[in-house]
Amino acid sequence: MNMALWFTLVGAALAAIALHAFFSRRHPLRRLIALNIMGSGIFLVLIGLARLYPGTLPDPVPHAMVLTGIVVAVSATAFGLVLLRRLARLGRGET
Amino acid sequence: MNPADLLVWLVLLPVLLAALLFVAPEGWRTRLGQLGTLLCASLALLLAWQVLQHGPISVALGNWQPPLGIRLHADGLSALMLALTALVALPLAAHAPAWFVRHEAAQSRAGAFFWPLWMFQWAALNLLFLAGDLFNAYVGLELSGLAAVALVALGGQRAALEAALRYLLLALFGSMLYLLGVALLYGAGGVLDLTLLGAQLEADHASRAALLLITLGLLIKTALLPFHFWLPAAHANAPAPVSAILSGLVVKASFVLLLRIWFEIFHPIGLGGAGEVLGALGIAAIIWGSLQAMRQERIKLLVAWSTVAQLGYLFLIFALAVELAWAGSVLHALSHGLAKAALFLAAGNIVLALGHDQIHRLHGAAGKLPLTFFTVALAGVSLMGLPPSGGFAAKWLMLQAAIDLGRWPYVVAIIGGSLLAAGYLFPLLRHALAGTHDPRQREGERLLSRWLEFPPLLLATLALLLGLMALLPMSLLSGGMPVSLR
Amino acid sequence: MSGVTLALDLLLGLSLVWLAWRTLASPTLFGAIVLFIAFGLLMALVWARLDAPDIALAEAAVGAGLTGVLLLAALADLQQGDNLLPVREPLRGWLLQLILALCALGLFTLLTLALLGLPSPPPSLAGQVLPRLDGAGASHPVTAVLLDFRAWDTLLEIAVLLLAVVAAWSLGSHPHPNPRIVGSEVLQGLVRVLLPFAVLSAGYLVWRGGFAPGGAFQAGTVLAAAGILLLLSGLGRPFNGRHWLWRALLASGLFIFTGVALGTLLLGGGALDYPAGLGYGLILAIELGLTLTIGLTFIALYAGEQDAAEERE
Repeated sequence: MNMALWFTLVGAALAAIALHAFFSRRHPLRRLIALNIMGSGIFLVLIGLARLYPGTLPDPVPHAMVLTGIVVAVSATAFGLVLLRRLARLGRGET
Repeated sequence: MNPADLLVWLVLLPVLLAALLFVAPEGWRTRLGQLGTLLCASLALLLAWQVLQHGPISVALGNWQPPLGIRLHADGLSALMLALTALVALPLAAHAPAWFVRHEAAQSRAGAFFWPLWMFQWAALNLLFLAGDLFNAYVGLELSGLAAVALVALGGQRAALEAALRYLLLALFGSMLYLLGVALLYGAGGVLDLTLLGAQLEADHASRAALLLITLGLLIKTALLPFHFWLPAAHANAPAPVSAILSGLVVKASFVLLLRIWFEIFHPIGLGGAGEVLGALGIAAIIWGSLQAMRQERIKLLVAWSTVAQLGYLFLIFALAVELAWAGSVLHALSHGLAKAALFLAAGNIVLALGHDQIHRLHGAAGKLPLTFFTVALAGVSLMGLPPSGGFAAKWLMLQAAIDLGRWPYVVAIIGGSLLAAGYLFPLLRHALAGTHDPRQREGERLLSRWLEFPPLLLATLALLLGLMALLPMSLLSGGMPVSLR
Repeated sequence: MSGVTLALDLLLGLSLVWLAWRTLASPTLFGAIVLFIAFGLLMALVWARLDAPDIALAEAAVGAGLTGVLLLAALADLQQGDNLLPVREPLRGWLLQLILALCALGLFTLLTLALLGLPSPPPSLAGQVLPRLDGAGASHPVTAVLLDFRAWDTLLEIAVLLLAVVAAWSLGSHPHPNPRIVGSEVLQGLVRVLLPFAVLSAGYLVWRGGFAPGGAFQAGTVLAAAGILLLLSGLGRPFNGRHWLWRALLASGLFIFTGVALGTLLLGGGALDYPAGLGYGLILAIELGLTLTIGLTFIALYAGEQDAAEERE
């Protein structure tokens, strides 16, 4: 088995663990973390595929897709956290 | 202007307007937003006209042809959905400012932030209707999802924020499944362009897994039963103009993408059993959504559950994969978009005028708000699928397809769905028409301005007219029918 | 492949899975966040191992660094008193637990079968990208894809970034997340020394992105880190979203990018089709705009909008 294929399988495992945690964990903060780990797993699958065979040239397109994906993921996470904090402040009776 | 340039403008203009609306002082935003709406809507209608005249239009961005570059593609389906968005946006631009000014419960900043968020949403919708590239569509899905969640949160109250948080988590989860599917497809085909993928896809493990993951991800976003659970709270607790956008347009965008992916990429590997499952879920959604709508006490929740039911019709096409059903499905998306936007705006008006949205407390409210309840009735005609509405034309086409194929459960579901819709809409009108005014209620009642009452009336009228002019969308669609349809 | 690297790869992959498991199973929220940051750093190592230095840089800076800081800041806010967050009902009953476990296992099996069954050698776009690098505005393949071949994706990604700020601010202002360490002269001194270096290295990363790993995302994150340090040290103040100039700066990257796209369209060449010879300059201009926007956006998402009045309290 080659190295890239091994890491795509690791990515698949990460996605599966995160799927489990997303539905079994209760706190929204943990569910956001689970989504981020799921994202990492998917990015790993993409990049592993990009160089699945030694000797072929690495494909830059998945690299660009992952860089875009990382920025989109952090934007969504950041907004989710602000939403969470807003809710918490509402729960404490602040405005 | 070169017709191909229109595709680029339709995405970039709302993006640019969103940024400008964010930078502009809050006092300028309404005028600037209305002006921008006029521009974007004209471009969309112009493009629909061009597609009607000359057939589908494609553009390769940066002049890099696929598979290296990204392609935007406008066919009949895109043209109709772009036009629908424009036709909802125009009355909304008149209604929304008036609504936000009148609605005290929403924070003062909600009205100011509505405009940039809605423009981002509009850009995302246009992008998704034009997308010819799977990864580009992923970015569009995220743009649309984040904007939708933020729009729900404009409601401000705890219930709206909680619904927004749940919507966000599920929307992100749906995007993750979609992206995983795209990753597998790229591994199998080495391209991201929809048409190129469709031409070379083989029935292997990777493409079957990708089909499953992409379909699940998009079903969560489209809220097909059993993934509908986030929808009623989110759509019912959002400000009324936002509910109209979400129910009328946003859920349709992920549906259109699903439609394209199934009929343009995956048709060679055989849809068979999986399509039957989606069709059956569609029937289940029609029944369950309608039954829930009948049980609701609040108008906006009733309307939101009705969306769950009406979305079910869209999925019948996956089991009835023939041209008639395709046309019926798209026509249903259009007529539901117009009618549901009208209904949510009217429901928002009722809440504004009466100060509550309890159905059993409506006694005689139709006497106070004749125009608004006339709008409710008009939109109801289309939702129930009575002639001559757009809903009738859509259901008629689907019914014909089901009869031609001898699929009797579908015939029963399509007819039964109309009866069920009557079952949740008539009690609403009966409460509003019958009974006398509760004298204690009068103090809180206020008359509505014409800016609040006429936009939903216009939308409901358009939904009705769609049935009389059904040939126009049909001729647009006939050019871009997927080859995979029987 | 030698036995030693093979063993190291196996170990690296297994630790990644183990760390993810520990993160998601951690009994406390604080523990989960700290483990998540460690997970991000290990991910960066894996990216380096997979010959993806651009992603390694971005993962370390954004994935682990920035997301970690945002999570910690949110946690500090959440742990003040009773906040009645909408915590879901726990899954009850062994049947549901079993179904969920089967779903996770099913996903893993599905993916494994799919990945093992992929064609060999895999189809890829590498053969499309590399011969066209001469005609593109950047010689580093990843930068060429991001800002030329698939620049449309990147433009929309910048729209997502601005949308995140607009969305966050639409919820109202929230107080500065961290207790200020104002008066710590050591930190202030350190920040004064580090700041010029941060700006310098951000500029270097942008310039370098044209031909080697690096670019606007990594550079923007360096700027954001400097800004967050500035806030923490008490030398800087969160910016005031009420002032249109700040909002314009936040949107500047998107303005430049859409400006270039619409400009090239109006000149008749097609959107984002850079005129011959101008590609390098235009891409550099876009990247500088993006760097500033990305840096400011991340700071804005960390610190939130603040009214001048609240700041004085």
